[in-house]
Amino acid sequence: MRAPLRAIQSLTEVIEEDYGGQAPGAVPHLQKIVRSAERLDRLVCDVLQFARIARNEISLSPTNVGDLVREIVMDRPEFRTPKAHVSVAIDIVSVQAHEALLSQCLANLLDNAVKYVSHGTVPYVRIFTESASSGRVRLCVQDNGFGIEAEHQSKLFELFRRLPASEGYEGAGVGLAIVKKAAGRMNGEVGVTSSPGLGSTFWIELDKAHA
Amino acid sequence: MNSNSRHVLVAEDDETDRFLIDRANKKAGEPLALAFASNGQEAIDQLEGLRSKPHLHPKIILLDLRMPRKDGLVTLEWIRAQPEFKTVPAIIFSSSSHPQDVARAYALGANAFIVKPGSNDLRAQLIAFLGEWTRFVLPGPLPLEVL
Repeated sequence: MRAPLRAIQSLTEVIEEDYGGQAPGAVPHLQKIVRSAERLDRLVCDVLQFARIARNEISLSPTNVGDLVREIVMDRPEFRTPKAHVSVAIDIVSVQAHEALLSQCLANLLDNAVKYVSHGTVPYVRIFTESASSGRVRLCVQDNGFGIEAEHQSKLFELFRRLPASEGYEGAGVGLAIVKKAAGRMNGEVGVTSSPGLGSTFWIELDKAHA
Repeated sequence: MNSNSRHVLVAEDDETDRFLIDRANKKAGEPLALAFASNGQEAIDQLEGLRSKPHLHPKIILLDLRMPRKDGLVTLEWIRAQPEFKTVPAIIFSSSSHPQDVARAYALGANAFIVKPGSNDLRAQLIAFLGEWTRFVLPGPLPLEVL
Protein backbone atom coordinates (compact mmCIF):
# COMPACT_ATOMS: atom_id res chain seq x y z
CA MET A 1 0.00 0.00 0.00
CA ARG A 2 2.88 2.34 0.76
CA ALA A 3 4.88 1.47 -2.37
CA PRO A 4 3.25 4.08 -4.67
CA LEU A 5 3.93 6.77 -2.09
CA ARG A 6 7.55 5.74 -1.75
CA ALA A 7 7.82 5.93 -5.55
CA ILE A 8 6.38 9.48 -5.60
CA GLN A 9 8.80 10.54 -2.87
CA SER A 10 11.90 8.92 -4.35
CA LEU A 11 11.26 9.91 -7.97
CA THR A 12 10.61 13.52 -6.92
CA GLU A 13 13.98 13.46 -5.16
CA VAL A 14 15.50 12.10 -8.37
CA ILE A 15 14.03 14.98 -10.39
CA GLU A 16 15.31 17.47 -7.83
CA GLU A 17 18.81 16.00 -7.73
CA ASP A 18 19.23 15.36 -11.45
CA TYR A 19 17.29 18.25 -13.01
CA GLY A 20 16.85 20.80 -10.21
CA GLY A 21 19.82 22.79 -11.51
CA GLN A 22 18.03 23.37 -14.81
CA ALA A 23 14.87 24.68 -13.12
CA PRO A 24 15.83 26.13 -9.74
CA GLY A 25 12.38 27.69 -9.35
CA ALA A 26 10.85 24.21 -9.26
CA VAL A 27 13.02 22.98 -6.38
CA PRO A 28 10.87 24.32 -3.50
CA HIS A 29 7.79 22.76 -5.10
CA LEU A 30 9.55 19.43 -5.53
CA GLN A 31 10.63 19.55 -1.89
CA LYS A 32 7.04 20.22 -0.91
CA ILE A 33 5.91 17.14 -2.85
CA VAL A 34 8.47 15.07 -0.95
CA ARG A 35 7.34 16.43 2.43
CA SER A 36 3.68 15.89 1.53
CA ALA A 37 4.39 12.32 0.48
CA GLU A 38 6.20 11.74 3.79
CA ARG A 39 3.22 13.09 5.72
CA LEU A 40 0.78 10.99 3.72
CA ASP A 41 2.99 7.96 4.38
CA ARG A 42 2.75 8.57 8.14
CA LEU A 43 -1.01 8.88 7.81
CA VAL A 44 -1.24 5.63 5.85
CA CYS A 45 0.86 3.92 8.56
CA ASP A 46 -1.53 5.17 11.23
CA VAL A 47 -4.59 4.01 9.32
CA LEU A 48 -3.01 0.61 8.65
CA GLN A 49 -2.30 0.29 12.35
CA PHE A 50 -5.91 1.21 13.12
CA ALA A 51 -7.10 -1.50 10.73
CA ARG A 52 -4.75 -4.09 12.26
CA ILE A 53 -6.08 -3.41 15.76
CA ALA A 54 -9.58 -4.18 14.58
CA ARG A 55 -8.47 -7.42 12.96
CA ASN A 56 -5.86 -9.20 15.06
CA GLU A 57 -6.77 -11.92 17.55
CA ILE A 58 -5.87 -10.92 21.09
CA SER A 59 -5.89 -12.38 24.57
CA LEU A 60 -5.77 -10.48 27.87
CA SER A 61 -3.38 -11.12 30.72
CA PRO A 62 -2.21 -9.29 33.87
CA THR A 63 -0.09 -6.36 32.69
CA ASN A 64 2.22 -4.15 34.72
CA VAL A 65 1.47 -0.60 33.58
CA GLY A 66 4.53 0.93 35.25
CA ASP A 67 6.88 -1.39 33.36
CA LEU A 68 5.14 -0.61 30.07
CA VAL A 69 5.46 3.14 30.59
CA ARG A 70 9.12 2.82 31.53
CA GLU A 71 9.80 0.81 28.35
CA ILE A 72 8.09 3.43 26.19
CA VAL A 73 9.95 6.28 27.84
CA MET A 74 13.27 4.43 27.43
CA ASP A 75 12.58 4.08 23.69
CA ARG A 76 11.49 7.63 23.06
CA PRO A 77 13.83 10.54 23.90
CA GLU A 78 10.98 13.05 23.42
CA PHE A 79 9.36 11.62 26.56
CA ARG A 80 12.46 12.20 28.70
CA THR A 81 14.04 15.21 30.35
CA PRO A 82 14.81 17.85 29.31
CA LYS A 83 12.12 17.60 26.60
CA ALA A 84 9.39 16.34 28.93
CA HIS A 85 8.82 15.05 32.45
CA VAL A 86 6.85 11.81 32.61
CA SER A 87 6.22 10.29 36.03
CA VAL A 88 4.48 7.10 37.08
CA ALA A 89 2.69 6.81 40.43
CA ILE A 90 4.36 4.37 42.82
CA ASP A 91 1.08 2.69 43.69
CA ILE A 92 0.02 2.11 40.09
CA VAL A 93 -2.14 -1.02 39.76
CA SER A 94 -1.75 -3.82 37.20
CA VAL A 95 -4.58 -4.32 34.72
CA GLN A 96 -6.01 -7.05 32.55
CA ALA A 97 -4.77 -6.11 29.08
CA HIS A 98 -3.04 -7.11 25.87
CA GLU A 99 0.48 -5.82 26.33
CA ALA A 100 1.10 -4.61 22.77
CA LEU A 101 -2.28 -2.89 22.54
CA LEU A 102 -1.96 -1.19 25.91
CA SER A 103 1.57 -0.11 25.04
CA GLN A 104 0.22 1.42 21.81
CA CYS A 105 -2.52 3.24 23.79
CA LEU A 106 -0.04 4.63 26.30
CA ALA A 107 2.38 5.71 23.58
CA ASN A 108 -0.38 7.52 21.70
CA LEU A 109 -1.63 9.23 24.87
CA LEU A 110 1.92 10.27 25.76
CA ASP A 111 2.42 11.56 22.20
CA ASN A 112 -0.58 13.82 22.58
CA ALA A 113 0.34 14.84 26.12
CA VAL A 114 3.77 16.13 25.08
CA LYS A 115 2.56 17.56 21.76
CA TYR A 116 -0.45 19.68 22.63
CA VAL A 117 1.19 22.12 25.02
CA SER A 118 1.59 25.85 24.50
CA HIS A 119 4.79 26.69 22.66
CA GLY A 120 7.69 26.97 25.08
CA THR A 121 5.98 24.94 27.83
CA VAL A 122 7.79 21.83 29.06
CA PRO A 123 5.26 18.99 29.18
CA TYR A 124 4.62 17.41 32.61
CA VAL A 125 2.78 14.11 32.39
CA ARG A 126 1.64 11.99 35.32
CA ILE A 127 0.41 8.43 34.92
CA PHE A 128 -1.59 6.89 37.73
CA THR A 129 -4.49 4.55 38.41
CA GLU A 130 -7.59 5.05 40.48
CA SER A 131 -10.55 2.84 41.37
CA ALA A 132 -13.50 3.24 39.07
CA SER A 133 -17.06 2.17 39.65
CA SER A 134 -17.80 -1.57 39.40
CA GLY A 135 -14.34 -2.42 40.71
CA ARG A 136 -12.48 -1.62 37.52
CA VAL A 137 -9.24 0.33 37.26
CA ARG A 138 -9.07 3.73 35.65
CA LEU A 139 -5.64 4.28 34.12
CA CYS A 140 -5.06 8.04 33.81
CA VAL A 141 -2.63 10.13 31.76
CA GLN A 142 -2.67 13.68 33.08
CA ASP A 143 -0.96 16.51 31.20
CA ASN A 144 -0.32 20.23 31.45
CA GLY A 145 -1.41 20.87 27.88
CA PHE A 146 -3.74 23.56 26.70
CA GLY A 147 -6.84 21.55 27.48
CA ILE A 148 -10.00 20.85 25.52
CA GLU A 149 -13.29 22.68 25.57
CA ALA A 150 -16.26 20.64 26.78
CA GLU A 151 -18.09 20.83 23.45
CA HIS A 152 -15.21 19.08 21.65
CA GLN A 153 -14.53 16.35 24.18
CA SER A 154 -17.12 13.85 22.96
CA LYS A 155 -15.81 13.91 19.39
CA LEU A 156 -12.13 13.59 20.27
CA PHE A 157 -11.92 9.83 19.81
CA GLU A 158 -13.45 9.78 16.32
CA LEU A 159 -11.25 8.79 13.40
CA PHE A 160 -9.69 11.79 11.58
CA ARG A 161 -11.14 14.19 14.14
CA ARG A 162 -8.90 17.17 14.78
CA LEU A 163 -9.75 20.09 17.02
CA PRO A 164 -9.40 23.75 16.05
CA ALA A 165 -6.73 24.16 18.75
CA SER A 166 -4.55 21.49 17.13
CA GLU A 167 -3.98 23.57 14.04
CA GLY A 168 -0.29 24.05 13.50
CA TYR A 169 0.53 20.76 15.25
CA GLU A 170 1.16 17.81 12.96
CA GLY A 171 -1.33 14.98 13.24
CA ALA A 172 -4.05 13.27 11.31
CA GLY A 173 -6.59 12.50 13.99
CA VAL A 174 -5.87 8.79 14.17
CA GLY A 175 -4.03 8.44 17.51
CA LEU A 176 -7.03 8.68 19.84
CA ALA A 177 -9.20 6.60 17.50
CA ILE A 178 -6.56 3.87 17.87
CA VAL A 179 -6.71 4.26 21.67
CA LYS A 180 -10.48 3.88 21.66
CA LYS A 181 -10.45 0.91 19.30
CA ALA A 182 -7.66 -0.82 21.25
CA ALA A 183 -9.35 -0.18 24.60
CA GLY A 184 -12.57 -1.62 23.17
CA ARG A 185 -10.73 -4.77 22.10
CA MET A 186 -9.58 -5.10 25.73
CA ASN A 187 -13.17 -4.68 27.02
CA GLY A 188 -12.20 -1.21 28.14
CA GLU A 189 -13.62 2.27 27.88
CA VAL A 190 -11.95 5.60 27.27
CA GLY A 191 -12.69 9.15 28.25
CA VAL A 192 -11.26 12.53 29.09
CA THR A 193 -11.71 15.24 31.66
CA SER A 194 -10.33 18.60 30.68
CA SER A 195 -10.70 22.35 30.90
CA PRO A 196 -9.09 24.91 28.61
CA GLY A 197 -5.88 26.18 30.17
CA LEU A 198 -5.87 23.53 32.88
CA GLY A 199 -4.61 20.46 31.06
CA SER A 200 -6.35 17.17 30.35
CA THR A 201 -6.61 13.75 31.91
CA PHE A 202 -7.23 10.97 29.42
CA TRP A 203 -8.25 7.65 30.90
CA ILE A 204 -8.75 4.02 29.96
CA GLU A 205 -10.91 1.88 32.19
CA LEU A 206 -9.91 -1.78 32.31
CA ASP A 207 -10.41 -4.77 34.57
CA LYS A 208 -8.03 -5.12 37.48
CA ALA A 209 -5.38 -7.79 36.81
CA HIS A 210 -6.66 -11.24 37.71
CA ALA A 211 -4.63 -12.69 40.56
CA MET B 1 39.46 -10.14 -8.14
CA ASN B 2 37.12 -12.77 -9.57
CA SER B 3 34.73 -11.78 -12.29
CA ASN B 4 31.80 -12.33 -9.94
CA SER B 5 33.25 -10.76 -6.81
CA ARG B 6 30.72 -7.92 -6.78
CA HIS B 7 27.93 -9.63 -8.69
CA VAL B 8 24.54 -9.29 -7.00
CA LEU B 9 21.30 -10.73 -8.37
CA VAL B 10 18.28 -8.57 -7.51
CA ALA B 11 14.77 -9.95 -8.01
CA GLU B 12 12.28 -7.10 -7.80
CA ASP B 13 8.97 -6.81 -9.65
CA ASP B 14 8.48 -3.06 -9.22
CA GLU B 15 10.00 -1.21 -12.15
CA THR B 16 10.42 2.01 -10.15
CA ASP B 17 12.21 0.18 -7.35
CA ARG B 18 14.54 -1.47 -9.89
CA PHE B 19 15.28 1.93 -11.42
CA LEU B 20 15.95 3.51 -8.02
CA ILE B 21 18.23 0.68 -6.87
CA ASP B 22 20.10 0.81 -10.18
CA ARG B 23 20.46 4.58 -9.89
CA ALA B 24 21.72 4.40 -6.29
CA ASN B 25 24.22 1.78 -7.44
CA LYS B 26 25.48 3.86 -10.36
CA LYS B 27 26.04 6.79 -8.01
CA ALA B 28 28.00 4.64 -5.54
CA GLY B 29 31.76 5.05 -5.25
CA GLU B 30 32.26 1.39 -6.07
CA PRO B 31 29.20 0.18 -7.95
CA LEU B 32 28.15 -3.44 -7.72
CA ALA B 33 27.59 -5.58 -10.79
CA LEU B 34 23.80 -5.80 -10.51
CA ALA B 35 21.74 -8.26 -12.49
CA PHE B 36 18.00 -7.68 -12.31
CA ALA B 37 15.13 -10.12 -12.52
CA SER B 38 11.55 -8.88 -12.49
CA ASN B 39 10.14 -11.82 -10.56
CA GLY B 40 11.19 -15.02 -8.81
CA GLN B 41 10.81 -17.20 -11.89
CA GLU B 42 13.12 -14.92 -13.87
CA ALA B 43 15.69 -15.11 -11.09
CA ILE B 44 15.48 -18.90 -11.19
CA ASP B 45 15.84 -18.87 -14.99
CA GLN B 46 18.96 -16.71 -14.69
CA LEU B 47 20.45 -19.01 -12.05
CA GLU B 48 19.64 -22.08 -14.19
CA GLY B 49 21.67 -20.48 -16.97
CA LEU B 50 24.63 -20.05 -14.61
CA ARG B 51 24.46 -23.48 -13.00
CA SER B 52 27.59 -24.82 -14.70
CA LYS B 53 29.47 -21.51 -14.60
CA PRO B 54 30.55 -21.11 -10.98
CA HIS B 55 32.75 -18.12 -11.83
CA LEU B 56 29.56 -16.23 -12.77
CA HIS B 57 27.49 -17.17 -9.72
CA PRO B 58 26.16 -14.17 -7.81
CA LYS B 59 27.89 -13.25 -4.59
CA ILE B 60 24.57 -12.27 -3.02
CA ILE B 61 20.95 -12.78 -4.04
CA LEU B 62 18.47 -10.09 -3.05
CA LEU B 63 14.83 -11.19 -3.27
CA ASP B 64 11.76 -9.04 -2.95
CA LEU B 65 9.26 -10.81 -0.70
CA ARG B 66 6.13 -10.26 -2.79
CA MET B 67 6.44 -10.85 -6.53
CA PRO B 68 4.24 -12.38 -9.21
CA ARG B 69 4.92 -15.83 -10.71
CA LYS B 70 7.27 -16.90 -7.91
CA ASP B 71 7.55 -14.82 -4.75
CA GLY B 72 10.72 -14.29 -2.74
CA LEU B 73 10.19 -17.17 -0.32
CA VAL B 74 9.34 -19.72 -3.01
CA THR B 75 12.41 -18.60 -4.93
CA LEU B 76 14.52 -18.85 -1.78
CA GLU B 77 13.26 -22.39 -1.20
CA TRP B 78 14.30 -23.31 -4.73
CA ILE B 79 17.74 -21.74 -4.27
CA ARG B 80 18.33 -23.62 -1.01
CA ALA B 81 17.47 -26.90 -2.76
CA GLN B 82 20.11 -26.44 -5.48
CA PRO B 83 23.55 -27.86 -4.63
CA GLU B 84 25.20 -25.13 -6.75
CA PHE B 85 23.46 -22.20 -5.07
CA LYS B 86 22.43 -23.35 -1.64
CA THR B 87 25.29 -21.57 0.13
CA VAL B 88 24.96 -18.25 -1.72
CA PRO B 89 23.96 -15.59 0.83
CA ALA B 90 20.34 -14.63 0.17
CA ILE B 91 18.56 -11.60 1.53
CA ILE B 92 14.80 -11.11 1.57
CA PHE B 93 13.73 -7.50 1.36
CA SER B 94 10.24 -6.19 1.79
CA SER B 95 8.29 -3.13 2.77
CA SER B 96 6.56 -5.37 5.33
CA SER B 97 8.32 -6.21 8.55
CA HIS B 98 5.56 -8.51 9.69
CA PRO B 99 7.08 -10.93 12.24
CA GLN B 100 5.57 -13.93 10.44
CA ASP B 101 7.23 -12.94 7.15
CA VAL B 102 10.56 -12.43 8.92
CA ALA B 103 10.31 -15.77 10.73
CA ARG B 104 9.39 -17.66 7.54
CA ALA B 105 12.26 -16.06 5.62
CA TYR B 106 14.84 -17.15 8.20
CA ALA B 107 13.25 -20.59 8.54
CA LEU B 108 13.64 -21.09 4.79
CA GLY B 109 17.32 -20.18 4.93
CA ALA B 110 17.51 -16.42 4.39
CA ASN B 111 20.74 -14.89 5.68
CA ALA B 112 19.09 -11.55 6.34
CA PHE B 113 15.74 -9.82 6.17
CA ILE B 114 15.91 -6.18 5.19
CA VAL B 115 13.10 -3.65 5.28
CA LYS B 116 13.00 -2.01 1.86
CA PRO B 117 14.73 1.34 1.85
CA GLY B 118 12.10 4.04 1.34
CA SER B 119 14.37 6.93 0.42
CA ASN B 120 17.26 7.44 -1.95
CA ASP B 121 19.64 7.99 0.99
CA LEU B 122 18.70 4.62 2.44
CA ARG B 123 19.07 2.96 -0.97
CA ALA B 124 22.61 4.34 -1.17
CA GLN B 125 23.27 2.86 2.28
CA LEU B 126 21.88 -0.51 1.16
CA ILE B 127 24.23 -0.55 -1.84
CA ALA B 128 27.17 0.29 0.44
CA PHE B 129 26.09 -2.45 2.84
CA LEU B 130 25.89 -5.01 0.03
CA GLY B 131 29.33 -3.89 -1.13
CA GLU B 132 30.75 -4.47 2.35
CA TRP B 133 28.99 -7.81 2.51
CA THR B 134 30.48 -8.99 -0.80
CA ARG B 135 33.86 -8.04 0.61
CA PHE B 136 33.67 -9.53 4.08
CA VAL B 137 30.97 -12.18 4.40
CA LEU B 138 31.73 -15.73 3.33
CA PRO B 139 29.02 -18.14 2.27
CA GLY B 140 28.62 -20.79 4.93
CA PRO B 141 26.59 -23.72 6.16
CA LEU B 142 22.94 -22.99 6.39
CA PRO B 143 20.72 -23.05 9.43
CA LEU B 144 18.61 -25.54 7.52
CA GLU B 145 21.49 -28.01 7.38
CA VAL B 146 22.13 -27.62 11.10
CA LEU B 147 18.47 -28.38 11.79
